[in-house]
Amino acid sequence: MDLNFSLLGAQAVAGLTRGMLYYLLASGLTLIFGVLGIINFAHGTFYMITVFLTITLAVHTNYWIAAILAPVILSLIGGICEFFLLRRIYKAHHLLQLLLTFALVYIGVDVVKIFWGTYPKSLPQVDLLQGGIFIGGIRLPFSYLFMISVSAATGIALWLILYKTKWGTIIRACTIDSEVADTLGINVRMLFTLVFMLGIYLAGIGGVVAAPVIGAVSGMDMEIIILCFAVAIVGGVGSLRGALLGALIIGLVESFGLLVLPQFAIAFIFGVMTIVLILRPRGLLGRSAS
Amino acid sequence: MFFGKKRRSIIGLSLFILLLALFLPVVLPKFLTFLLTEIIIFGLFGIAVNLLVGYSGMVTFGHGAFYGLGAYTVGLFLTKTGVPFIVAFLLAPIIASFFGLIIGFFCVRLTQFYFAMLTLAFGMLIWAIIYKWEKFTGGDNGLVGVPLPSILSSTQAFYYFTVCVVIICLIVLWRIVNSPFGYTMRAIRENPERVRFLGINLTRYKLAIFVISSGFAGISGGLYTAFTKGAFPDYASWAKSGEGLIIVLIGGMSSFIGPLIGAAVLVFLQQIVTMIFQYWSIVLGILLLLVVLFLPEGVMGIKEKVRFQR
Amino acid sequence: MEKIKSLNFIILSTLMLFFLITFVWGIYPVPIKAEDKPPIKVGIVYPISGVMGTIAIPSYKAHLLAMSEINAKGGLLGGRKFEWIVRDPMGKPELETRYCREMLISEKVDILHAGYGSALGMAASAVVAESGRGLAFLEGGKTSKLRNEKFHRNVFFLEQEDVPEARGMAKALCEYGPLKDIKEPKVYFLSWDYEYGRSLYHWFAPALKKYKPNVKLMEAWTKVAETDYTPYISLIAGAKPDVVVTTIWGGGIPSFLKQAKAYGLWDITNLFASTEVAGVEYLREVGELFPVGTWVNVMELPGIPGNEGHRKYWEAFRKMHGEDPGAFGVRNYIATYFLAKAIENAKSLDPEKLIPALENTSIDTFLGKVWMRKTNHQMMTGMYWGPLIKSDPPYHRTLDKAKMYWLNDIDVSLTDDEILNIRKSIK
Repeated sequence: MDLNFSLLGAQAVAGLTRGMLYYLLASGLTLIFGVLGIINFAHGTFYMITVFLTITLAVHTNYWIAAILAPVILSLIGGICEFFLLRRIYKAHHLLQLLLTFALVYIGVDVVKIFWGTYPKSLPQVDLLQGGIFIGGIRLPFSYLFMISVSAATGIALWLILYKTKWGTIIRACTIDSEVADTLGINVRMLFTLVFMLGIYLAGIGGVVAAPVIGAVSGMDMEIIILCFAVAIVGGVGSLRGALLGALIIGLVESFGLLVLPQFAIAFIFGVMTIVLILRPRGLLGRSAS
Repeated sequence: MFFGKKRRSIIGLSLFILLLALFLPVVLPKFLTFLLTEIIIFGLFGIAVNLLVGYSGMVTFGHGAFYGLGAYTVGLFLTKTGVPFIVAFLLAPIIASFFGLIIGFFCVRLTQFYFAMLTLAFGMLIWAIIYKWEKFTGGDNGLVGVPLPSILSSTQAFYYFTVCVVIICLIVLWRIVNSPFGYTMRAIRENPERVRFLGINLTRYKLAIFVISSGFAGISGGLYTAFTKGAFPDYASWAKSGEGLIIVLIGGMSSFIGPLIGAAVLVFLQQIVTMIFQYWSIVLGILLLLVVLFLPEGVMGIKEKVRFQR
Repeated sequence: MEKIKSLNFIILSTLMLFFLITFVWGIYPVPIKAEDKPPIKVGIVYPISGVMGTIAIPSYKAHLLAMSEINAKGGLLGGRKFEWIVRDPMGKPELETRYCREMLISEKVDILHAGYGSALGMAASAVVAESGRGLAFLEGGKTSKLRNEKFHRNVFFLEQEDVPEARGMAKALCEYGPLKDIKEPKVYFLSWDYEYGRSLYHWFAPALKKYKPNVKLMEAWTKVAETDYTPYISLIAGAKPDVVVTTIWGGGIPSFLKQAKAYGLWDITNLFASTEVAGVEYLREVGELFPVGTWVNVMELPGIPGNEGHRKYWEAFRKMHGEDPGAFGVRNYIATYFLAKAIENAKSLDPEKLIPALENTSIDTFLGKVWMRKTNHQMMTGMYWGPLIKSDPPYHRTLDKAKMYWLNDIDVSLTDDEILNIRKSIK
């Protein structure tokens, strides 16, 4: 196999794109954990449902309308879940918190089965996203460019919200200590709901940009949630920059791992996750794991 | 005060259940005996998990790995070597707790979230190795045709074997959780700082309970392989770890026998539901939600609720 | 204290009794009314949810259709009708074991359909060996391991085996397909890393080398149910092979085809998509994404073979299930009719009579002759092989009738001696 520039470049592009998708999901996951303190196992489920919903909406209208609507719908569903379910377990035993979102995963599996059946589904071709460009001999399809730019734009928007607005400051305050924030008169309960909805909205955007590129199939929720955990761990939970860094690392490890150890690529990822947790539990950019 | 009131009620209840357990296979159809065997094995796994979750406050998400290790130990030794069954079976907890020692060494230093994540990561790593090391473990095909000694070949004989093994395990575990060591673990769960202040090395105690727990998880895995005469990578997956946590929750994490009850509920419910309805997953999800929100102490917690509802 | 103790006792025993009663009531087989003829009990353990669902569902529906049709015509053995129970093991071997035991031991089914995929197939096969009764038809495990090493008298195989598929692929590519005129072709084998992929490769590589000794055969293995093929696609594109052979199915197909198209892979190379992914269940969603000229193997497609029996099957399937039959369905439809003939020939459901009947029966179907191979209990039929061309919506692709051909599996399978040698070498 010729390890020439264009092959390495192509793998880098593939890894980068994949990484950007992971970033979208991991950022939501890490935001939810940072503020609410909940590990949202159902994050992949919301992502999966968004992909299916995007396809259905796109079939009846078009992709772009679906792309705007789907994440909003999922975010609303997320808000309902938070309000009725999650709210009751913030102070509960760790096991209860884990199993609540786990329960949502189980429900999500059958929701997809009931509404969309078990055959894999595919988004009808989006004309604007066909074709691609060549950069330095490496092909970059428009659908991938779209994924990268939307993720980047989202990342920037997220940064702006968190660091340049009042709400963002409040959210960051809650990440550090939500009880203190509460005593300062901030409506922490409503904030929690909004943050959860934001996290789900991010997962929804991930689903929307992934839809033109992959098929929707049951089981994609489990597949992606484990990778999201790996990303969040490596990058550092609670840190958005960590999510980005972790996502890019995992994405690139996956693509290049193929060239080196194709059979064991998946064990590789878990190995990386394990090593990070052993050597530096807080991840690359996270805060200390006390 | 050895035969004090509380002791008597426990002994009475245990005897009742024991008699029921021994009597049942005689009257019940074979398939039900199969299910009971499955429940008992699964219950042992849940009790092993509960050593960490309920008694020590350490929520572990990787115990499926030890279950799988126990399963594959029995499976591999019996299919690839000629060792007698009892040897392979005893090796299961040994190998599982050996790995428990290594994995626990790294995990018990961490708290809560990171502990759960690292146990998950190790669990997935072990699953991935079993799944990928096809030449050795059979990979995604799994191992089948695990030979059992002929005395265990009938459903009833295997059931009695399982009951015996599990009763021995339960007695041992009961002694452990009600020993000073067990009470120390409970104290660590409630207030680690204070325990540390008393001069106790938390890490060593946590590691000890982790190893013990992984050993018993290994026994349950070994039993299951003997039960199905096969081992599959699925046995070490995080779904299996999740199931362990689910039965702990449903049965009641503050109760010793809770996870066994949880196992009974889960297996029975699954069998009944799948006989009439094709969507089991959503039923399980809703059940979990209801238990988490309305009955967090599990089935065994009902008596507490009744007690305080005066 | 006493109150608590008795409350505890009462609650526990009530719970246990409740479960036992509901359970036993549910489990005990329903007694049959005296005037009915005893039914032919069929147990179906199909992973209707999960990865295997794409394949299991059409098969399941086809079975149901065939059994209903036979029942409507009066049943078998003087009026006995099929009765079936279904369980979904959700892709888990533990549940497969449990349900197969339930079917064989508790429900005492005469025929068991189970074993989708090699792990489930292994689990099901083990239960049949253990239970010592009933007959099992394993559906989805293509691997020859099940048929050769793990062979058991009471177990029969319906799914096309890997050997004829792999050799058929080599034949199609080299005698008719994109490699026909190329002296030193480059072939890229892209597959999920699991038993089916590995065993297909195991038989494909030597068959290919026989045709083209100077072939350069490259491989790429992804994880099962992979949805992101982009890194592999760039690897493949870089190697510029003459054809890419894939064993991807299920959710992988829309993903792979979309990504391949986005990367312009089909400007560089050709595609051979195995394992019947050109069935309507896929074409419906991604028909347009298959590059024209893709070589495939299928048992049937709309209008192919298009004879009367085929048309009737389509009509009946549509009427019963409200959808077009997926490619994996027809094999099981035919299998049920094959089984029915064998039952009539045996005049009994007793395995001792039914096994030799199955081994010696053959039927003529709208897809040609169907028979059972004695050495490895593999149901023998054949497949169409050919390139895809454009067609009308909703499927967008169909086989090129001018270039397609039918290949009987037996012509490219292992010989009896080869099978017996493999078995001997295992011992």
